[in-house]
Amino acid sequence: MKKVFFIDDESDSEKFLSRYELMQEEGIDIIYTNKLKEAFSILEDKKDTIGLIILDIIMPTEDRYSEDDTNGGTTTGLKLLHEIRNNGINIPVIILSIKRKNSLTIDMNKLNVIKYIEKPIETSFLVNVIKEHYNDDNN
Amino acid sequence: MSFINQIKMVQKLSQFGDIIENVKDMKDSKSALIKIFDYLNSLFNPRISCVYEYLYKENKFKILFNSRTSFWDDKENIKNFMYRPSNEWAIGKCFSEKSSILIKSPISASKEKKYYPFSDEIRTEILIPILINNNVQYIIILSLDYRLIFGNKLKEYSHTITQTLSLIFQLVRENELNKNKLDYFSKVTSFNVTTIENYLVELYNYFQSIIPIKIITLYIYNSYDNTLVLRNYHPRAMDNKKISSKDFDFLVLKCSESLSGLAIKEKSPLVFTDIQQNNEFQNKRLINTFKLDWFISVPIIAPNRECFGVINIFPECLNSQFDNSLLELFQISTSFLAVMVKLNNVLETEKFLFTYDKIFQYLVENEESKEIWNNLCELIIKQMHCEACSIFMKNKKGNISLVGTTGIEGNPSYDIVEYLPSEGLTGTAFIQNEPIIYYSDVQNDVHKIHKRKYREKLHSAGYSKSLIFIQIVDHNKNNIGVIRCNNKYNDENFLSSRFTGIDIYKFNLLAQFISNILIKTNWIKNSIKHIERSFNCLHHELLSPIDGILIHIEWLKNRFNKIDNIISKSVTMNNVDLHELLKGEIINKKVEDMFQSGKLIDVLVSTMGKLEDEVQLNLEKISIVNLLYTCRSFMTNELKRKKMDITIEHLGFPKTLADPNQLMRVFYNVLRNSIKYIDEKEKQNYITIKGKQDHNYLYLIVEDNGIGLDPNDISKAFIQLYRGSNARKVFPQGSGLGLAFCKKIIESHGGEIKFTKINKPTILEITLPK
Repeated sequence: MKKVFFIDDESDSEKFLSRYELMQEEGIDIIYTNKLKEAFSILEDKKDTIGLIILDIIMPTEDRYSEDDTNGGTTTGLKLLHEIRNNGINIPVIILSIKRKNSLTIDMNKLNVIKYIEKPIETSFLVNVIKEHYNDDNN
Repeated sequence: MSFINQIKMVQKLSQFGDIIENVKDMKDSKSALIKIFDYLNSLFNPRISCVYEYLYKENKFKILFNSRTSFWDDKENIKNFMYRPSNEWAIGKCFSEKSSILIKSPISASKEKKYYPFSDEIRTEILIPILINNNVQYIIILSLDYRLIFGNKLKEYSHTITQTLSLIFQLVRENELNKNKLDYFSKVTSFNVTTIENYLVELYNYFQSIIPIKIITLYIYNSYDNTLVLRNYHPRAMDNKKISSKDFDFLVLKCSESLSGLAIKEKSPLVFTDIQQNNEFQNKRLINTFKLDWFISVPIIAPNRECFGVINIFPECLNSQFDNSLLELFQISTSFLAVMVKLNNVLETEKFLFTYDKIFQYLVENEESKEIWNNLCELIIKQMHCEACSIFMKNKKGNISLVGTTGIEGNPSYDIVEYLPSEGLTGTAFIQNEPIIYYSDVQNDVHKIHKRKYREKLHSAGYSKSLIFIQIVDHNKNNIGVIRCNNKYNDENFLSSRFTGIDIYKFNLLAQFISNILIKTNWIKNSIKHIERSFNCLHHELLSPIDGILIHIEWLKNRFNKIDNIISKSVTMNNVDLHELLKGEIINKKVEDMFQSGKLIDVLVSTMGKLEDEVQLNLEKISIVNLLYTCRSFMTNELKRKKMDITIEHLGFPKTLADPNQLMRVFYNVLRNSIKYIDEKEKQNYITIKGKQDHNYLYLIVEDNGIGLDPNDISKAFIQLYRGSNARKVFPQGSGLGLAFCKKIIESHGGEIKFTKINKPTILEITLPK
């Protein structure tokens, strides 16, 4: 099974590491980053090994994008997604965010976002979603 | 006249006093003159007599009035003697010598020189001049049909007469003038004048009563480039010739190079003579066409020494005949004018600024649209009397782009819609530190200001005579935009072809006003954006810890389950058996609670008014009674502590479609309120839940004997964040969100929640549809 790439500014926090452990025990291979720049370099290097990106929306802009463009950092993830797509990387994305879905307008099809999951979420639920996706993929 | 009569006459003549007595109380000079004439006529008894007045323009004498003799009844005589040149023998001699003349043999004199006595019967002619400021103004001619015996003595006498009469005449005239001055002054100070231009006409009319004026011109001072701009003149025609702009060489004078500028510098009226010879006088065409040779330049200075312009007066009379004390009068009149203009300007400005309020209200309340900016431009050109106006605002690239314009007739908009900073005049104006920048005579080489930078294409800005740029700044005094106003050159209406000092003063006020308003609107818009952002962050902050707690509990549960399978003995931490804790119902409940809390926060946030979405309800057919019982069970410990109970009466409700979790929250909230806000003075605190129903609705009635509500708080009890006065006394740290939340949930179900009684007992009624 291909890896799952988490892009979230809290990726290296204690709670995330706990979650990763649980997921890895379910057989899911994870790589993660909490920096926008690193996200791009990892995607470049390892895009053939990544099968799914799990992306947060609310992230610091890190001087890569302006405050105005990202509504004060509350839609950084979307901006990043647009940039990823513009660079020709079409790996499917699951958005996992506290931000409520109905506060945004996203063209899910155009951006190849297969699911929008609102936090908080049980890890087991997330694991099921990922496994389902890979099963669909294989089929 | 017989010899004896002549002696009598001479005797009379020595009584000077008579003349003075006759004349001294005369109020105006004309009556005095008539009186003098009559007196002399009565003395000398001439056959023919008249008074000639000197017209200095034509340099000849004209009959002012004559005696009532048959001679003058003949129209032919009047025609022949109406005018006399000032250089002919008798009159000419009188005029040049400024003294009285006695002609003893008029007939023989006429054969030798150019002398025309009135008729052949004349034996003696006496000419008595009356001088004003040592210039001959009138000549009284007495033509006698007898010889004067005392001719020589009479000559001495007539010199004295001349001097006396002149003096008297002068005094009377002064009186007359003084009265006129006071009259004039009272009229001038009661003008109801709204513009400087109209004032000029009034001034001209009133001046005529003191000193006849040929033409009066008004220049407005522009402090930005130290020039004077011709703004008005009166009258519009002179000597049957129309006066137009073409008669002025210069419509704009440089203060440093003009005579009017000197008056401004001195800040007092100045008299300039011999202007036809003076090279510093610039409008030569005007004075040559209309034969003007001296003028008075009166600066319009306000009491605070602020200069508005000059009024140039070209009087009709000779400079020598001019009374210099009038200068002070003119000065005061114009300072009055200056003050009035200032006041009127302030009023006018306030009025027009007020009309902008509406436009800006709209700007604040609505999204920016091109229409609003265009409307603003239209308003500006009407108020500021300019031909075109455009507004440029800073864009994301750091350049300024056109947001609104009025364009120029025939051209819907300017060609250039975006400027780099310091590009062209517009770009340059944008980066300057001055709030107002003024370019005058942009077409004309005379001023050569920034002409080399002026690249705006001709057919859009080629109309311009002058440009004004007004900065728009934000609260940090950074330039965020610029307003450009054009004044175009129009031959018909040359008087408004340039902005003047007063216009610029108005523009200054306008600039400040616009900047203030834009600061306010931007601030409001930013604040709104910021509020949205903060709200989103708050939401995030509330949910984030829940997410973390959940994950940790999950992990802990997972780990301890695994450990538990390997090790059978119990593991304790702080005397709590973790195994029991993690495995039991409690932890599952807690996990589920976490989810519900997440949803709760969603609802809470939406009750705070930002998220307008409906509450998501998961509807099930439920028993409300069971829900109430479960809710009560959560509160057993607290009820025990407060020694009270919740009595749930038989409701008889059917199963209803509702969201059990959300309803649970509502009941929990309501019951907790009853427990929190008990009245400690009561012996026994109770809470009772009753029910009733009708065809469509179920009614839940919760009653308690707590502290209840203050009557003032009834209408606000369900408003988010509102805390009633009674509640604040008992539980000051409450959030004020509970009832608002309940209302949102109940209303999402299609029901209603309200207080039907506020105190003793407090009754809350919840209605739900069946």
